[in-house]
Amino acid sequence: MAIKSKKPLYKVSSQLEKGFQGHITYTTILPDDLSRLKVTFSFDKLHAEQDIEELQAGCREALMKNLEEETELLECMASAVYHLPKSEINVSLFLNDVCVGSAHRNQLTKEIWISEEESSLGFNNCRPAGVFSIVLHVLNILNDDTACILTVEGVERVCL
Amino acid sequence: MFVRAELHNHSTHSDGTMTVEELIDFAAQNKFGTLALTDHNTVSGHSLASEITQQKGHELSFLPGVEVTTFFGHILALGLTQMIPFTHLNPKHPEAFLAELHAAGARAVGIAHPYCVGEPIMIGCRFGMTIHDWSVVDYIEVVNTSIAESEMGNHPLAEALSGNEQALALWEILVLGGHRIAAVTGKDIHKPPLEANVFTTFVQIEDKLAVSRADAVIGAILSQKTMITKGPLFETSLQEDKLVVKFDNSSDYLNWNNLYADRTFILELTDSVGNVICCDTDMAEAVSFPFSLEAQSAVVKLYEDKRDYEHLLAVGSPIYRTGGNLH
Repeated sequence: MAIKSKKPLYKVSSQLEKGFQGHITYTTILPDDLSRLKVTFSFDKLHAEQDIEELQAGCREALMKNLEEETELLECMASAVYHLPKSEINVSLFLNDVCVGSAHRNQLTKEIWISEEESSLGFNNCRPAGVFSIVLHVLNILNDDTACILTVEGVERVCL
Repeated sequence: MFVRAELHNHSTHSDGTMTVEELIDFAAQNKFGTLALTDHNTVSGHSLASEITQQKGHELSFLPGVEVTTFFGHILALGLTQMIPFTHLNPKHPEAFLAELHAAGARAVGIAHPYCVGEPIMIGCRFGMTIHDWSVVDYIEVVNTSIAESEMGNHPLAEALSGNEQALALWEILVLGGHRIAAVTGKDIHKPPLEANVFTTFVQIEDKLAVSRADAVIGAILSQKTMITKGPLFETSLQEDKLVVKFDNSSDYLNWNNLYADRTFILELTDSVGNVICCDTDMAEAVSFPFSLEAQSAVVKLYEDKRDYEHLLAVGSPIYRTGGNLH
């Protein structure tokens, strides 16, 4: 009879500063006895909490790039886009250098399951074994001290 | 024949709200001829989409793809069935990465919404890479209709957010500069689109196909046999020193086959040596333009009433002269 137990494999916490953009990669070797893998990534402060006026000025500037020079950009029009900027971090997973998928969603917490039988939306079914890389695609950080937490847990098959 | 191709769509495998099945059903109900699934940075929906399309027996062909979503712009890779890393992409010299996409199986590589409003409103959406060699780009999404078909569609800034007019102008400059690049539209579906009077893509393929419809659509993109339209269809051919435009008003897209009769339109030819020739047409008879022997390429547009972007109805396949012939 087989039962399953969960074991933590990896946990990392970090803080990102406003304006950072880049890819952050974490790589580890997975144990051979896993049947499923769970990756949880979360960050906070989705919307701007600082330098609001500067951000809105940036929005107006971006809009003006797509408008005729002489256009008067009315505040009531521009304000329709002020809610659109957001902090954005997406997650791609690689097993043995092969991309198995990406979580590209507007979510503060992304929970991803990988297994041969069933994986989360955005990910191919595959056996979680070998060299495992997690790539955080940090598109935008709107606030200083944006906290990020990444955890990796394996579900181990145990035979009794 | 002409086939409607919707080449930029998302599902719940990335940030879309429609499942793969819902997207396919929507495409079939709305008479798409070909549907590409281009989720952000993932191919995980492909096998299910292919399976469902076959199972349901819709008159719809499925085309796998990916929207490679980088910090510096979004690249559509049609035919790509294995996502590749993109962390090494250099936006100042992106050709190597675009070539990698081709090598990894992408059969047509295009730029999505190049002039969409950018930072800080939408990070990465505006194309910010510097292309030195346009031969690595097979097509440009000159009209992205996602905003027009959303709740923002009637907002006075809707067009400015899309940047479609600038995208079309970029494509025209490139074509008239001799670059072989197809023009397409993108619904960029993330949720069920609202009804709106928007451009779509039709591709020209053979009546009897020796390959699958999806393959033929790729072939049409690679040979620039695509047109963007709000209903009217036309094809161009060279007859000696004349460029002949033949119309096809059979499309029921936006009810065109019932709307076109008894109206007058303006056809405009712009060639690579700067000639701009216009004529009125009722779209019943073919139109013949003189075509300069010096011209190497040309673009044909169809307008209603007035020659401006607001009145644009269709842009035909670009025309290139090769060894004395146009194709």
